[in-house]
Amino acid sequence: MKQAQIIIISIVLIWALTSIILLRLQAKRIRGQAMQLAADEKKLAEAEQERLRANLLRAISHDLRTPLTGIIGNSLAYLENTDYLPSDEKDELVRNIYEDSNWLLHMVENLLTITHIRNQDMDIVTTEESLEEVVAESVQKFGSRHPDSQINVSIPEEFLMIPMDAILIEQVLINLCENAYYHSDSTEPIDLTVSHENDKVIFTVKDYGKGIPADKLNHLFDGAGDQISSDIYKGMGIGLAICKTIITAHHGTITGGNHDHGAVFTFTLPKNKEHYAKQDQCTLN
Amino acid sequence: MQNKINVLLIEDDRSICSYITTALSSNGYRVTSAITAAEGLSLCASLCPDILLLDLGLPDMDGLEVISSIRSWSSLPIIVISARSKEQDKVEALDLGADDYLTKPFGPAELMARIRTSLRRRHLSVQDSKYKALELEVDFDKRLVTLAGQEVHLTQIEYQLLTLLAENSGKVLTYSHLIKSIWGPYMDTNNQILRVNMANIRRKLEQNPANPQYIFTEIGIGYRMRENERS
Repeated sequence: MKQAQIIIISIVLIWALTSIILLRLQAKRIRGQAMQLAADEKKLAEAEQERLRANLLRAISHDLRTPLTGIIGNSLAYLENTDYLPSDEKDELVRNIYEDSNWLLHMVENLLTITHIRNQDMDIVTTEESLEEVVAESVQKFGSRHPDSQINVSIPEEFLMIPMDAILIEQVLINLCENAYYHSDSTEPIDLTVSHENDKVIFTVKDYGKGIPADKLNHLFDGAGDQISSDIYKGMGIGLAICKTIITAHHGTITGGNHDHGAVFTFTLPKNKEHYAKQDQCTLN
Repeated sequence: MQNKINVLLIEDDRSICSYITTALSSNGYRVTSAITAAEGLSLCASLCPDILLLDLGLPDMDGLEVISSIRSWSSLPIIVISARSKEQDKVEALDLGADDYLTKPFGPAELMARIRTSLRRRHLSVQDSKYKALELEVDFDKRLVTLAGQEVHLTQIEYQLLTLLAENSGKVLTYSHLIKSIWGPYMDTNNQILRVNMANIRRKLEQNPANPQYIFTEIGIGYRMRENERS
C-alpha cells in the first residue's frame, strides 16, 4: 500500500516536473520569438526614421536656397542700382527681401523644433498639456503672423489634458494652417476642429480652396513635394515632412487629402492611458 | 517740449542694436546702448534710464545675473529680449523680476507696444479700482465681475486668480508666481490645479475657449491678461 502511494506520488511529481520544464522551454521559445519580432520592428522603425531624416535634409537644403537667392539677388539689385532706381522700385526690392527673410524664419523655426526631438531614437519629452491652451496659442500665433487670415476653431467642451511636447504640436498646427493660408488660393476661413475618442484626440485642418493636385497626394509627407517645383508650392514639402516627424514621434498618425471643396489634413494624438485607467478606478471607487 | 523717455539697450548684436535704436529714435525715444553687461550696468547706474531692454545672451555675463544685480537696487522696468526655444530662461527672468519679455524676432510695433505697457504700469502708482476690456469689467472694491453687463459667478479661487491677472494686465504672470500668490508657498509646483481653474474661468468668460479674448496662454511660461482699457 505504502509502495503504491510512493509510486503514485513519484509519478505525479515527475509529471509535474516535466510539465514545468516543457512550459519553461515553450516560454523561452515564445520569448525568443517575441524578441526577434521586437528586433525586426525596431529595425523597421529605424529604417523609417532614417528615411524621414534623409528626406527632411533634402527638403531643407532645397527650401533654404530659394529665399536666400531672393535675398541676395534683391539686395544686390538695390545696392548696384541705388543711384537711378525710382523709389517705388526700391521699395519693391526691400519688400521682396522682407518676404523672403520671413519665409526663411518660418523654415528656421521649423528646424529649431526638430532639435526638440532627440537624435537617434526620435524621443520626445511629453508633459500633460491643456488641449485648449495649446490650440489657443497656436491660433493666436498664426493670427498675429497673418492678420488678414480667418480661422474658425472648435474644440471639445470637456477640459482635456493630453501628453505632448506643446511647442512641437503648436508647430504642426501652425504649419497646417499656414499651408491652408498660402496654398488654398482662397480667402474663405480655415476650419480647425478638435474632437476626441476613447483613446485619442483628433485634429482636423480644413480649407475651402483649390485642393491638393493629384500628382502631389502620394508624396505629401516625404519632403519630395518641391521636386515638382513650382513657386506656389515652395516650402510645403518641408513643413509637412516636419509635421510627420513630430506626429510620428508622438505615436500619432497624420493624413492629408481633399474633400469636396478643398484640402483637409488630420492628425491624432494618443491620450494618456494611465491617466484614463486612473480615472476609471476613481469612478469605480 | 516734453522730456524724451530714456531707453537703455544692452544687446551685443550690432545689427539688432542698430535696428532697435532706429525704431525707437524715430518714435521719439532717446536710446543709449551697451554691448556688454559690465558697460550696461554702469550706464544703468549713471543714466538712470526710464526702461531697460536687456538681451539675455551677453558675452561677459549671464543676462539673468544682470537682472538680479539691478533688482537689488532699482525697480526700473526691464524687458528681456530673448532668442526663442528657451522657455526656462524666460520664466527665470520673469521670476527674478523682469517685467516682460520679447522673443526674437520681433517687429517695431510689438516692441513699442511692450515698452508703452511697461511704462504705463510703472506710472500706475495707485492701483485703479476697476478693470475694463471689451465687454469684461471687474470692480475690485465691490468684488464684482460682469460680462456685457451680466454678473459672472466665480469661485473664491477663480476670483482671486482673475483679479491678480487683471491687476497686472498686459504682463505675463508665471505659473509659479500665480500658484504662490493664490495657494501659498507650500503648494507643490504641479500646475494642473492652476490649469483646471484657468479652464473654468475661461468657460465663464470666453465665448470660445480655443480663441480667447481676455486671458492668453503663454505655454510653458504663464498667463497674460488683455490690457486694462482704463489705464
